[in-house]
Amino acid sequence: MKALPILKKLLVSVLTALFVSFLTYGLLYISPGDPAELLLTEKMGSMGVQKEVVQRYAEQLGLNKGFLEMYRDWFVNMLHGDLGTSYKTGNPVLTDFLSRLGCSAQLALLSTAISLVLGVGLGILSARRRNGIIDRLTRFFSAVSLSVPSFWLAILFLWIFAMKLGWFPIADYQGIRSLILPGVVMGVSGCAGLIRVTRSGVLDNLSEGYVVTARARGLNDRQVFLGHVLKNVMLPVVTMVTSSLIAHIGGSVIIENIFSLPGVGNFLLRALRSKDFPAILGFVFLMGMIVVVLTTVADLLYLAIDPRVREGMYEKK
Amino acid sequence: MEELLKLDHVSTAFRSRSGLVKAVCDVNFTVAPGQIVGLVGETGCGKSVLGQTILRLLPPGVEQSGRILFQGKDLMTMSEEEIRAVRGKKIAYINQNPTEALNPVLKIGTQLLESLRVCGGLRGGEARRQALEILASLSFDDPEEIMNKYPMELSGGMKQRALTAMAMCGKPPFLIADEPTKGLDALIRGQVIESLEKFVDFTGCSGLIITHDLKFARAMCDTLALMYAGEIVECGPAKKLFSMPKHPYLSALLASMPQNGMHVLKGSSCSLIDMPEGCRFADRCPYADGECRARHPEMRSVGEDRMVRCRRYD
Repeated sequence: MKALPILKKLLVSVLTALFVSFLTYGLLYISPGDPAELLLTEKMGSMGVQKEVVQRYAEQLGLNKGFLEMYRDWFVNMLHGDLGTSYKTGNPVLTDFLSRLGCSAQLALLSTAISLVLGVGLGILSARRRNGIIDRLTRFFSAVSLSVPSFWLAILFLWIFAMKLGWFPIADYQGIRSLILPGVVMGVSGCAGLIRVTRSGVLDNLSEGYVVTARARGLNDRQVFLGHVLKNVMLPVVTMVTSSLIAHIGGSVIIENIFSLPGVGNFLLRALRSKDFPAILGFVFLMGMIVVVLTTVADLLYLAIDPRVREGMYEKK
Repeated sequence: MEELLKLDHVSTAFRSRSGLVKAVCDVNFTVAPGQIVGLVGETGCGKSVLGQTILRLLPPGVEQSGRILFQGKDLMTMSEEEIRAVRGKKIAYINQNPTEALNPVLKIGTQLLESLRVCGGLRGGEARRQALEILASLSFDDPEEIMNKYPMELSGGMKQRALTAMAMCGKPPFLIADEPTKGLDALIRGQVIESLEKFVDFTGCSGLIITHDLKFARAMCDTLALMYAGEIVECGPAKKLFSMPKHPYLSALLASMPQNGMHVLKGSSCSLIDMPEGCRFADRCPYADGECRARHPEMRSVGEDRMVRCRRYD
């Protein structure tokens, strides 16, 4: 295995994460609203804050410096492992991030696991019973899951299972018990793509020459499927699962909001509202780093599954 | 004559958007023990379908009829379990296009050891020894290394030999090889002939070799059956067919070989969906008359061991 291309990719990804954090910072900087004023207003109430107090507070936070200077300070500190302190909570950004990551990561893992089991399971079943009743139901289910927006499903589930039936907590966070409902919502809305990819992957592979070779050697359907087809089908599935894991860690803002979960997305949303620069920069950068790590893991998985990737043949296909 | 494989009125058809494709129509022939029969014909004449029909490898929904007797048992009416016991162990099949016929994500060793386990009942060290022996017998220089390679790391000729090695695992008494020289150059063709000959020595088997390569067929086969548009039009001992072709199609094929002046046969084979009523070759035949187009000719004996489907030999 060649390590160099992976290292190169890793470096590019880290630079991308940095660039994204810079871009976020830039957009935020030009957007209206003074963070010092916003924060003070929030702290004191809407009584109106004196101008000089705002200015003193801004100086204290280092907001009086220039655009690039502020970013440079943040960058240098970041290189020393210091992501700064959140204006709003007063905690180190890293501490805030880690305290919220658990919830988001658990949710992402749970929902991706549900997607994986549902998607691959139904995809295989529907391909093997092509045009049968299970296949038709599955195709209908995947069309529905593609077209129903997840926030709508979330509200529906919240209403049925939490409010009417009272099986799950509505607002107070109770650990894993609070994650089941959002996990199911995200898992169900995310599995449509996986069903399709798995189903078409199985069907395509079943007409490949190597399947004929395998059958001609006296293997039964189960041996052909488990020993030969499955590994070939897993390639696109790995890609989809990693990208859904990534999307679920950072992109579950709406779901976290609906279910009032203390996750990364929800925190970031609040930080954006109050222009909490250190928190936003830190969160965006750290989430970028998680994406970098996960894509690298996916690349390594690819290498383990498909020898053609090792030779760089994959692009040709 | 005692026969190992006997095809008795075998037909295969499958549905397509434009209609029923009659890929194989009423084929009869036999293979005696120790005999190598070549099934030749141009691309699309149904010869590969016939090969897969014998082992019932075609996808579900394909209509097959007739009897295929192997060692006296009808493969057509066997249960799925019984036919699986024949595949690989009694009749080995070498698929066409070795690049697609090997699983791209499994090492050659994995696929070979699997064949030995399924077809030969060998496991562990014993299987490994046997695998290395088979690879060495097919003139792989470093069998150990080949075991650890993926199909894409091998050349076309090596893949063909790897596929041959997998078919050898069950030491079958019968081999079906589909287009083993397709897409290979003259040098590799020599290697394939050599490896198939080793196969025959190793297993002592008889075989059916499906090919469009007349030169290769002449080198490998005792008997030839010539297919045109789904049916056999001439069969007999290979040497006699080459020296004295009877059917106009065979004469035309021989004339199209490079050493015979490359006189290309014009036109193309008739559709397998809308068959003409009369002789299927009539449209391309220099001797065809009204009678040829009106009535479909039957196979008739012409001399010892030879049959031809042409009205001119009535």
